[in-house]
Amino acid sequence: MSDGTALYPQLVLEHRRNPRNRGHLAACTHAADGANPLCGDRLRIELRCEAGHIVQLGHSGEACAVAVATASMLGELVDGLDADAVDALGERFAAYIEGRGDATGLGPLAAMAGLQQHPSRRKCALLPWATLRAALAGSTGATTETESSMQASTATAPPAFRAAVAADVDAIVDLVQSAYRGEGSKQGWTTEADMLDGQRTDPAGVAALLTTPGSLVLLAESTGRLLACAHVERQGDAAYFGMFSVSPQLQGGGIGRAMLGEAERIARDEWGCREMQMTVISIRDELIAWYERRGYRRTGQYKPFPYGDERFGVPKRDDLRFELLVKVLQARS
Amino acid sequence: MTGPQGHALDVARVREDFPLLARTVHGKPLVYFDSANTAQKPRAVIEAVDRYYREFNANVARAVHQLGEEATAAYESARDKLARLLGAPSREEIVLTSGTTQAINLVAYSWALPRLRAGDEILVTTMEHHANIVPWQLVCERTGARLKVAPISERGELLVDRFVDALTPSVKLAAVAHVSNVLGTINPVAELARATRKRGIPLLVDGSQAAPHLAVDLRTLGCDFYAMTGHKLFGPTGTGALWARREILREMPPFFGGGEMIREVRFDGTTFADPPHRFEAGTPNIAGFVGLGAAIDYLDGLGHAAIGAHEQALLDHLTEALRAMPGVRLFGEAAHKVPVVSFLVDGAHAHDLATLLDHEGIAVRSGHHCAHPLMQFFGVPATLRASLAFYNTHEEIERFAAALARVRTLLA
Repeated sequence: MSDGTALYPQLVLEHRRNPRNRGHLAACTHAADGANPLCGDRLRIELRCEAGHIVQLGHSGEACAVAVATASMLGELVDGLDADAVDALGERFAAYIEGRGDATGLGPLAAMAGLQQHPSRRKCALLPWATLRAALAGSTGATTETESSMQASTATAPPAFRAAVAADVDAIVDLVQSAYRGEGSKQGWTTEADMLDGQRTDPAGVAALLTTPGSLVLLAESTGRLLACAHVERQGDAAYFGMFSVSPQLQGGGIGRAMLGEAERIARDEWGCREMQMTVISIRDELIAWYERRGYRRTGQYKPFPYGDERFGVPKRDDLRFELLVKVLQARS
Repeated sequence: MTGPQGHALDVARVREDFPLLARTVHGKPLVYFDSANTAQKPRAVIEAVDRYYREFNANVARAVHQLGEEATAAYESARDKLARLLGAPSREEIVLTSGTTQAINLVAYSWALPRLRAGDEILVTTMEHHANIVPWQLVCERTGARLKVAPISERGELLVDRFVDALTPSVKLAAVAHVSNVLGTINPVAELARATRKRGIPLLVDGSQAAPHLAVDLRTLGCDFYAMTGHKLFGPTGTGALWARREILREMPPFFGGGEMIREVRFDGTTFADPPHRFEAGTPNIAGFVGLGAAIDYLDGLGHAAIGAHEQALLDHLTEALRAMPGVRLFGEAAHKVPVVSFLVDGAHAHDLATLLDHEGIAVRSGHHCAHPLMQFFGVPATLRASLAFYNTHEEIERFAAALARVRTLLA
């Protein structure tokens, strides 16, 4: 074998055979899924952060030797770093493999020098970095390919918001069910399939929300397709946000964030509310972390789960309860 | 190299016609097994393009000067040659396009979009290239029509009974690859066309991968639209064609507007040229079609029978070599195939193998080959694909097999 091994020196092959930090974390605070559909590379990075610093990293998934070895090597390197330091190191790595910088501070990743001669494979090494940075930034997905996949072609148009009407009830029920229940929901991260069976809502429940005064069901659509929904209800000075659902295949693409922002805008600017409230199943740490990154705080106030009322589903465990989250809505000056 | 019957292809001489095949890659002689991605070009094509720019570069169908006459004649002769190559009843039925993708989109926007309604269906198969899926999805999004998929077998053959069963009255168009770009499967188009015609459903055939290997005869195929590309047919990139029956083309409104496609333009209304020029707005890829004409002449000189015999021998050899290797999974073992073989090697990612093979001088493709649904059918994210052409040799297959056996041990 001649220079063909430049991209695969022994250290890279060794990390590929015995990846460090491989696996899932029992308690993770941040996670993101990276995918390069053109290559067929998929990898997940899970993090446990304390006070904004990485204390543990786990990676999993199916990917090529370059991506797996990079994920294995960077785990040791980012231990103890915060998001800014990771960004800086990621930039340095990108510069190194493009031949624009040296390997200072990159530790074992210096072995990736072969990428300087392989532009087409750089995206493989950048995928773990992009996924790590996405996880730290509170985003759930990343790619280092720009090819528009088929999903992208149907999801790229910016969503349009409108209030639901009676004719939308069935589509809303389908969307809510798809985001929370059953095997299909596991394509997204909002799934509750491992906690609850049965229904999340039903047509009667949704229809009732549509006729409640001071309340609206907000829909996000693109090219006629329902992408996300949420219920917003005015309760005096506060607004309540619930039934938040994003189509599982589209999660991680920023639609949820846009929907939450639109609901906050309505509550603040149209209703004059000072606070947004919501309740979240208290064991859903990832979900609570997502809201915390959007300015919500935990209150320590809990509400019991309605055990026995199958309109809310059939629990698979007996420790479910809701925690109240709140965010102060600051008026735009 | 000799084929099983007379008129054998002299592969050593053929290879001399392709200057690029003589180069080295990473210090090794090139083994080019990626012709289904794009084919290499014979000297005749390269020289025809060169000669056009040196000797008669001018715009077509506008200039009355001598250069314009020569350019127009050379460009239009590509239409004649394509008509002959495909067995089209008339040259006026050949619309020159930038490739298969544009040809299929022309049918999608000009024929399907005005006709389809909510509840209608378009039938495709599991083995389609994205170019024969996405345009229909865009039409469906706008019209409320739905895409319906005819399944294939584990061997990678279309289940013809299931295809025929799927031809219900709601199906307004069927669109099928003549040859699968991933599996190499040759679909029984004539049989499918008999079923669609009986039900009055137009059939579009994506011929991208067929034209380089098979003698296509539209008169016996019986389909209604045939799309193909020039760059896989040993011609320049940015060339291709759509064939459709004259009566269908006459019913299709223009897709692109501009020069060349009009009869008379007035601000109170424009009348359009007849097909095929109605669909050829703007200055076309003149040099490209001059080159494509040369490619078709070159193929005529070799003869389809000789090409087919050599390619079948290459396919058998390559398939046997891969079958003999432990831990190799083949995708697509249809009875009728062109020399395209997709495979995976246990424990090694397709991309890593492709990079390591590249350093042995061997060019294969790794990835999803623009056929995500087919990858999903086989439950794999990507495959390696070796796609051969008549200029490949048995010795190259031996080199490929030996290199594959060597590089996989690195990843084990």
